[in-house]
Amino acid sequence: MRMIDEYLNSLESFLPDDLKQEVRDELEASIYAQLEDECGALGRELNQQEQEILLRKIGHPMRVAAAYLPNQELVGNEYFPAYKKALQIALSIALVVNLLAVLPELFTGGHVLQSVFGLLGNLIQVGLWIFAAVTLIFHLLQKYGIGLDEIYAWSPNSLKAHKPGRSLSRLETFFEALVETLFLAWWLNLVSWQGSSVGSDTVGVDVSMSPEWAAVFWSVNMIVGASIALNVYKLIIAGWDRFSLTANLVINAATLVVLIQISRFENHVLIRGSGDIAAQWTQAMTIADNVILSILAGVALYVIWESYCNLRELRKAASRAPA
Amino acid sequence: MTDSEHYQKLKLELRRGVLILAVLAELRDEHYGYSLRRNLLSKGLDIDEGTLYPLVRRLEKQKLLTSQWREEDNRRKRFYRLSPIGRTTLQQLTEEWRQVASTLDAILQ
Repeated sequence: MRMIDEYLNSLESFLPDDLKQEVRDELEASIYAQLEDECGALGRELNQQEQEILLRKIGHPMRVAAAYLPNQELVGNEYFPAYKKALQIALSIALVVNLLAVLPELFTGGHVLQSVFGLLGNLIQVGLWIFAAVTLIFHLLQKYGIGLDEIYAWSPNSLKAHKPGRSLSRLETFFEALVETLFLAWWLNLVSWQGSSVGSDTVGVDVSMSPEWAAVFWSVNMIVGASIALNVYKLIIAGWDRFSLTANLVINAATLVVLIQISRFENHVLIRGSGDIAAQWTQAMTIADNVILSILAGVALYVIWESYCNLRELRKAASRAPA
Repeated sequence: MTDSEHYQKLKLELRRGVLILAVLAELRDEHYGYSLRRNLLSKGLDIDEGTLYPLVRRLEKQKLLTSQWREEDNRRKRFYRLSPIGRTTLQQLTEEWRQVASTLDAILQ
């Protein structure tokens, strides 16, 4: 019987004070009546193992206690759609504000990685606070049964027009914008990079970017800048529309032109060596050029594929448009 | 999720609504927790204590049942029975159940 007592004690510990005694008495009466029934049927006392099976059938004390308690959800299914939407809006605002706040530092501070980690840390912290605050607000609304009619007040006439189209992941778009921002910060520093020397006095090597890159400095800035702006726009509307599809096609076309221009550079990287193995540095320069050309080809293929997808979506959107 | 798990989950959902009707019907006569469970089991409806007792309490809170603590066999037991509101509700639910059952029969044929 010690096992049954311990089970009931454990059950009590998961219940509020006003329920403890009542629930205990009710369950105790039931367990002992069941025990007596089974003893009568078997003609003997139940052993330890049989008692254990009986208690196991009732369930974990925490689960049994939970069944006696009122609503156990922080936000129930009636409030959940509105809660999710509110969370999405609040997190998107926090994301854009944090990104805008850190941009000047990215381009002027010189510690790009530090700024990025700072941004991510800040985003996690702010995100958690927002999550806690929005959850608490909706939990209180639910607890006191208020706001449900106001939240879902609607009329078929006042519904916002939603154009059917390709949806997108906000997280994916955010990371795309982040990578582009980092690339831009790196690119701005790269062009002003004066090169560096590696090696000893006897076998030294100077590595620097070819001066030909200066020809595409502004075009790259404009393309990446426009792409970042487009991603922010996509983040806000949470999808693709005709404007963003067309703008993306224009950006992709411009990217292809610049990629062709870059591929025609005589040299992309200048590696000048001295000493006995100077010829080997010339060979290294050819390898570096080939690596860069391969990367450019990969980027070009991705841009062509994305443009094809955009065109397909635009065609679909055109066929859906009312005549 | 396997086919069997799907079946178990759907079976539970299907039974959940029916349990209330069965419990209300059984409580036309007075019962305490265990005797109610035993009676339902003898008629083919197996409900575990963790589901049945909280359900009975909820129905009592909704004024569909009345309860009384009494001592029987040296143990304090809570006896439940249908309240007047519960009786009317049971009647309405029974009619609804018969209608649903006949509609479903027609659909399932």
